[in-house]
Amino acid sequence: MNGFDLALLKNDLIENPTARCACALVLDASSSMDGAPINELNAGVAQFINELRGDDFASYAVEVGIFTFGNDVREAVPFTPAYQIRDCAPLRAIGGTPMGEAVELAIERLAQRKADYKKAGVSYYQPWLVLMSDGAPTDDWQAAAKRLRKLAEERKVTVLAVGIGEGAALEILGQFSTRPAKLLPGMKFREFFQWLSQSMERVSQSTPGTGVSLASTDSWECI
Amino acid sequence: MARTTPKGGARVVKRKTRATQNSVSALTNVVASEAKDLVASVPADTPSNETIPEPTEETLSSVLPLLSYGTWLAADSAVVGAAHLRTSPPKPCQDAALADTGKRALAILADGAGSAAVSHIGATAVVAGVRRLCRTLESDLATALDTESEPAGLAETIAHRIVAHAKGILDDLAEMHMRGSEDFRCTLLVWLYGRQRALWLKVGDGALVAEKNGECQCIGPVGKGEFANQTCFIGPRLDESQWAWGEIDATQLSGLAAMSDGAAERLVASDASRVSPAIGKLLRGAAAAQVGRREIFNLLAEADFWHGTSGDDKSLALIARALPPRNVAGYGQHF
Repeated sequence: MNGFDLALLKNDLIENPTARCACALVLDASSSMDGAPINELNAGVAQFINELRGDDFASYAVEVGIFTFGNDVREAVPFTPAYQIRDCAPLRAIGGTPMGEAVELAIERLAQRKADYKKAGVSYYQPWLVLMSDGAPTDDWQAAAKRLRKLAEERKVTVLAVGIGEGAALEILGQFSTRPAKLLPGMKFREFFQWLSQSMERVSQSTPGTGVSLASTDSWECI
Repeated sequence: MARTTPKGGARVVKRKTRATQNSVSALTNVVASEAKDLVASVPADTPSNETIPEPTEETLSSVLPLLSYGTWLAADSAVVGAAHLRTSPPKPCQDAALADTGKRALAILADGAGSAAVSHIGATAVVAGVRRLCRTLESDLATALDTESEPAGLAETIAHRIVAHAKGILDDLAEMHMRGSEDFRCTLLVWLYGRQRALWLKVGDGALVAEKNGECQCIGPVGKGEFANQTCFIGPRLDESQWAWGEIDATQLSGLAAMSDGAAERLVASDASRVSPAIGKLLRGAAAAQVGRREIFNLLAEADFWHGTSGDDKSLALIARALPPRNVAGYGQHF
């Protein structure tokens, strides 16, 4: 064998777009979160994005969308690759807890994002939806819970419901998912979002046929 | 100096004679030293009573390129992915690739499931076992792929036999190692060349590429599920709807390649709409005996080429042949 210069192939290689993993954060910004909880939540979200940006692969692969429910339901950050998220305005705690409406909005946006991926020929991982609240919904949440749970049962989305503090309605939150809601005690937002960023990094770097083993939740979960 | 046909010389002379008849001018891409090696390697059982002149370097250089017309050459390799080295202990390479040009040119590749404990054993056994099966089925393969009119349903039967055999190999391994056959599960990609048709078979992801009329294209379905880390495998849960097979016309077929999804990340578009020009160059290199296992290994192991990919195992098996230029008399009749 001789005379074949592999270096000549480098410019021939195809740059496929990085497979994407959408992560929807559906966050409680109701008045009960006012003060230290919303501040810690803001710090946790900022840390989450920074940690994703610190990972070469996940910063391109993980697309974060932030939805809040408080005085109204808002799409605070449309799905955006972590490396492109520059300024994420701090959340303000005000108003009620229209959780059902926020979940419906997040489901719609996730569906739209998946359609965008398909249209662009970009492969994608099973998206995640993280629902966090310190209380109980104040709107008609049952239909949204049923819809999201069905998607989770069909393995179209991974749903993680997290109750913030002892006042969280864990039983209701659990109805949005196929797995029981987890309790985040003592405002361990940083620990939680560190775990979440590590989990998203693992998902975004998983390969076909590879079961994704997530990091232990011991650092933040109250059992 | 004239002498009786030397051992193995007859085949060279016949090619030379045909080349002369076809008025083919010298096309030299094989050096004389390699040419001598090739002459030495030609089987000694070729009957002939011709008296021919001792080949000189000049005659060899004009003749030997023609030896490779229609002759399939093979190259294959599998390389552990960087992601497998990040775990402790590191995972072994779970890909197995084999290209062979013995009785029948073929390429077989299997990619063990990342989450299966001993899928590297399954992948290796499936590749070896499928090759063995193809050797056993040679008479059926000849009927199905070498004849102008294929008996109805024969190729389909062969495809089903291959998948059933691969499943059986994993079942046997499971029994031998006293664990579930899921632990051995792997994808399977197969190319079987025939003079009239080439058969392909695809279970799971990865890519099959055919080079025809000088152009490469992906063959078969993409093989992934809805999500990027979903695919199907040879294993107990595989059903009919999850795998595919087919045939392509072998006229002007000059290269066949099978690659795992890790290699496909840079060698084909993720929607299978495009094939990297690198594949065509590798196939032409293989056909000219310039690309072999070492070159494939070097390509797959070169970190610079794979920066930004998932770090999965990478494997590639290819077979290639040189075809005569289009202006040669009789062109297309035999190729």
